[in-house]
Amino acid sequence: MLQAALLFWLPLALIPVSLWISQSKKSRNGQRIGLILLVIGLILVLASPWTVPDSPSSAVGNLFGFILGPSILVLFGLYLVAYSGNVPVGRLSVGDKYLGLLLFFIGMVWFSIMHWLDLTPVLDSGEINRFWLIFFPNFLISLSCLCLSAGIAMLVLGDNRSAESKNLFFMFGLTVIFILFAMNIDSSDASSNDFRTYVWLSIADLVGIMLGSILAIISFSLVIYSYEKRLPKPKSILPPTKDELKHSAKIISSNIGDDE
Amino acid sequence: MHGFPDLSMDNINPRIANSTLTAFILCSTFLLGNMYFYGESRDRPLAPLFAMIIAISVGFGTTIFFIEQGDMLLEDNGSVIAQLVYNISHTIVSIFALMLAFGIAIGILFSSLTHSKAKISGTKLSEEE
Repeated sequence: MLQAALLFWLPLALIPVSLWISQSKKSRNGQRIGLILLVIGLILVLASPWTVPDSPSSAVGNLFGFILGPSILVLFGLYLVAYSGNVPVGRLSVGDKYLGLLLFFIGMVWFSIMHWLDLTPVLDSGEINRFWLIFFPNFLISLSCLCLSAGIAMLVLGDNRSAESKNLFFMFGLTVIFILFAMNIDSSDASSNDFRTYVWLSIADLVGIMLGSILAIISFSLVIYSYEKRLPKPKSILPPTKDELKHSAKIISSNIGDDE
Repeated sequence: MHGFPDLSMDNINPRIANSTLTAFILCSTFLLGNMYFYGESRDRPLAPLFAMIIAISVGFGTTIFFIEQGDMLLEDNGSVIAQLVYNISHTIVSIFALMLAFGIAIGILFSSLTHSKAKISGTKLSEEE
């Protein structure tokens, strides 16, 4: 247990801590130290299947190791596509656009293969990583909901944006079709019945995450509100004297070039 | 086409409750870091930090209390600590899935916008000038 705490949970906690440190304005080396801690934390979390193989928590590290590759490909691909378009600064070449599309496509196909074929994350014991069955339905449902919401928002809030929203609706359609197929056709490692169960549990998960996050934000706002209310009022100072006003007028007139 | 699997509200309700409580603890912990920098800007870093720690403790206390009630929030795990650790791992994985989906949706949105045709033509701009 102590080993799991030191080699998995502590490095996992280092990730948000490194983000906080990198935000600090008081420390000069904050960003550098934050980046170093982030890298150390990530490496130790990803290495947890080897450092703490007996701990059930290391299954999370195992999952992150499996999904790191396609996640980077998809996000980096989208970055290349986005910045090869009409951006005012740092525009990339047309070749980068096609490279980005290719990376995005490979990343998404990789995710699909992880579900349908033998690339599914499995533990050393040979059983399927149960966190994969939590991650993948959550990812698919979130992606479909977010793409649909963004597409509708583009149509409602944007001016003549129907052509641009089609990409988001296409992605939404593709994700929904994938979910329906996975809910009805068995993959090599997971049955469709299992997947259906995890899809409904994922919806419960997402509802819970939304409720919990809203509650946390409300408590955060209440703490700030009550703290600001308790702060003493700033000390009021005396109005400026005639001499001070004259001096100010002199400085202002010298700066705006007024002769009067 | 199949509908609901063999899944009752007895399975779904503990998941929503566990997820809500754990998301509250994790989000509050992340906001605690931000609270420190807020307090730092007010020259009294510990006052709001203390209040946020109380909020997190309430979250932990509530979670442990409900898990200890037995079947209510205890899923397939044997003890309170095992359930608590599983909840945290489970929610971290779910939040990562949500963040990845968010990144992809924003990426597609941004790519669509940067590759769309300009809405204002050059001639129209010069006419307006």
